[in-house]
Amino acid sequence: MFHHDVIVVGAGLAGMRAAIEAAKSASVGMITKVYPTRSHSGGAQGGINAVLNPRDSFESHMYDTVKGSDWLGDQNAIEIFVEQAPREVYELDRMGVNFSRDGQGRIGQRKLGGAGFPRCCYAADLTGHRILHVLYDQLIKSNVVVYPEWFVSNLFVQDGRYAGLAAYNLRDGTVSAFRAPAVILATGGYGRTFARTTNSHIVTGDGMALAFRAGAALCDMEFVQFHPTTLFGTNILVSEAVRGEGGYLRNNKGTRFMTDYAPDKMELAPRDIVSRCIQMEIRAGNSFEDEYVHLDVTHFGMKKILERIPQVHDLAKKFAGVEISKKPMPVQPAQHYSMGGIRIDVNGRSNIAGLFAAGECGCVSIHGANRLGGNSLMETLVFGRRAGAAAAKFVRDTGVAPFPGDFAREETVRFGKIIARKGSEKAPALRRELQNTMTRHAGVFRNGADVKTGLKKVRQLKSRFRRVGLMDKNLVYNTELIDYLELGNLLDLAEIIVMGASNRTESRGAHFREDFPQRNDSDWLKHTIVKKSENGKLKISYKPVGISRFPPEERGY
Amino acid sequence: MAVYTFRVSRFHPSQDKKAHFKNYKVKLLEGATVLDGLIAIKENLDPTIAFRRSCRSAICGNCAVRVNGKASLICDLQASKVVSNGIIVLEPLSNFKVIRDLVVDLAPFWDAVEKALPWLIPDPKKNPPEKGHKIVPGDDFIGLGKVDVCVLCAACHSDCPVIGNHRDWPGPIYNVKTARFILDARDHDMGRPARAVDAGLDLCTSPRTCPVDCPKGIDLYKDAFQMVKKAAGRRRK
Repeated sequence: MFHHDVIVVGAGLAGMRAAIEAAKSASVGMITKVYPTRSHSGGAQGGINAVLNPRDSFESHMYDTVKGSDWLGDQNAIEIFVEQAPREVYELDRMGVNFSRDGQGRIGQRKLGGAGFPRCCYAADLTGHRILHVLYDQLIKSNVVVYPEWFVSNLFVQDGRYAGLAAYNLRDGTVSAFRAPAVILATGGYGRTFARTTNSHIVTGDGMALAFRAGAALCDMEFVQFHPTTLFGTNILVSEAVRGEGGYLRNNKGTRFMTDYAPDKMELAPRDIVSRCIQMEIRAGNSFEDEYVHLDVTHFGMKKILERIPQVHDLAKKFAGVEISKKPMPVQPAQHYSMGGIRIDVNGRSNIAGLFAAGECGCVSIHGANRLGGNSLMETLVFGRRAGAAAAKFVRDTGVAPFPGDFAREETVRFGKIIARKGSEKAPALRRELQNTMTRHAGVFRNGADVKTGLKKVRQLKSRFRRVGLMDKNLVYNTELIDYLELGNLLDLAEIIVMGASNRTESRGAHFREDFPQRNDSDWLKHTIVKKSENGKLKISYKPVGISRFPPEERGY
Repeated sequence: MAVYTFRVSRFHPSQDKKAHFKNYKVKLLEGATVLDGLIAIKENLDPTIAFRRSCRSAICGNCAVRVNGKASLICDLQASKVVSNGIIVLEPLSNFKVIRDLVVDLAPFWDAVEKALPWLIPDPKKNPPEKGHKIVPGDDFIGLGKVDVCVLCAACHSDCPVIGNHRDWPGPIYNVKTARFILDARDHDMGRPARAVDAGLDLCTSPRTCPVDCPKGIDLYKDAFQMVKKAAGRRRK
């Protein structure tokens, strides 16, 4: 049994920022299924938003975020978010993040989608990678105890109070209990529920699923962001910064089709809108191979490409065989981000005492129905810091809760049963079916009949999952077991995503229903809340959106 | 489509005294990576095979193994580019203890990173926190960019010929991390070059012919070793 004041699960930006903060006054253990620098935050390319320029304003950042969210973001939280963002950038700079600079040596800023001002700080197109590595350096400097390549498999919650968890140590194959009065879940999104996703293999919604099974409320799970520009074939991310720097989207006639859809913002309309426009071009027969459109930067010149988007240059060459200074990139929309997550307040608190969340894993909600580029990295820092501080304070105020001594043993027995099972189903096949189902039935465009079919399919997959057998009978570094546990998480979340999408009979942000193409504020200006009921079924309720300064208006770009 | 034979090193601590090779035949599409091949093997032929992967876009550093004897990331490495007589040989990184199959215990590598004290020490007088840093134009941030692309994949540790002979030498990553901060105009830690010398910088007797091929293109001689060496020379004067 391991003892800490606070356990952080996940070592991306939110987890590390939370851990560093909590460790200022508490004993912190960090459990992560990969080494911290392998976390998916490192895949972020475009940048991180903060109001730094005197000609910009908090008001403007807030309005852009609210409008981007299609009014589903909670404005009290967004206000805190924009006001606390600048100090995070300055702190990162002092920690050593190698931000790109302007001509005067100041931190440079560029424009991303849906923004009324160039307020996105960046480090070429490696922003996530550079921040992740600098925070890792800070983590080394701190006294946080890291448990790398440990997989959290179960949380213990009794009478609405979190008390500890069980985790599997891949290295030696043992299961141990971690007793701590508070846990901060920072495991990111659930991208791998979808066949087409920009997300790493490891992005499997573990924290959301664990919390849900332990009784936490999930919020707005039907809101899934599809990034408009991912490489055709692999769906590797092509940063929004490419359009921010002046890249053009063109259809198979060579036309910049965004003129028809968003004449004002053009390529820099928010992601939900650009993704739908690309999909409409594909449907109208204006795409290439009925699959993709072109993203063109041939007018940039090599110097600008290597200075501003070197990673995209490299990725396009390696994965699409395209030299982007000479030819356009083939791009199509793919799942990119989870707006929904564990319902938390502005201090990361869930409905379970002692259970906190931060980053993509949580839903504050800053992003509402659609996230703006550059806001997710900032969310991890502002709300990671707040969750870390709040969890440490919770521990000081509350103390430990009763925790069963045999929790690890029970989990070991469960694992033994899983690997001993001779099943008729294979996990990789089920995962592929799930991913194809989600991309097909809960993608950029949705409609009632399709979503219902999707829900039925997901439920069938869930029952088949019980018959999965494993070949690897040994617990040391058993990645087949990890894949299996992750698939269980994906399946639980998929059902919630599709069910939310089926219930919400309107179109808002990234959730677009062809049978209900309008936003419907009188019925649907509310958050979807899903909890597990006593009998294991899903219980849906709704919660009002926090609206303070900006009443709903029509969202045009 | 082309057929490849993946010759994969297998080792399980409870079953094997030493590692042995197992061959797998897979059909791969044009452009498929070595990682695509391994995933296909795991999903269709042998789910017991253990390897690491995460981002599949060469930014997380998790998938480094030896391909035909040379340490490399495999997620951005096309199978067609490394195949020889239809065969691709995959082994775990060298200079580490094998945990299972292609998975090694990276502890010595992370220790080396930590030993370099890899955090920025800002000059409190020059840089008031509320203003951030104003970098003077012309300060060498491009050089920093070269070593700042490091993804900590440990390929350099694997293929470093010095580590095998000098177990105390933390490895090339120590130089990379040190160079990264020496180059940073904001860093105020003046002890870095001297510490690098103490750590064993000069144990490397033939840095010019360093056989390490950094998967991210860092030149371990020019961008790291020489940078640290020069800084150490300046300090001595």
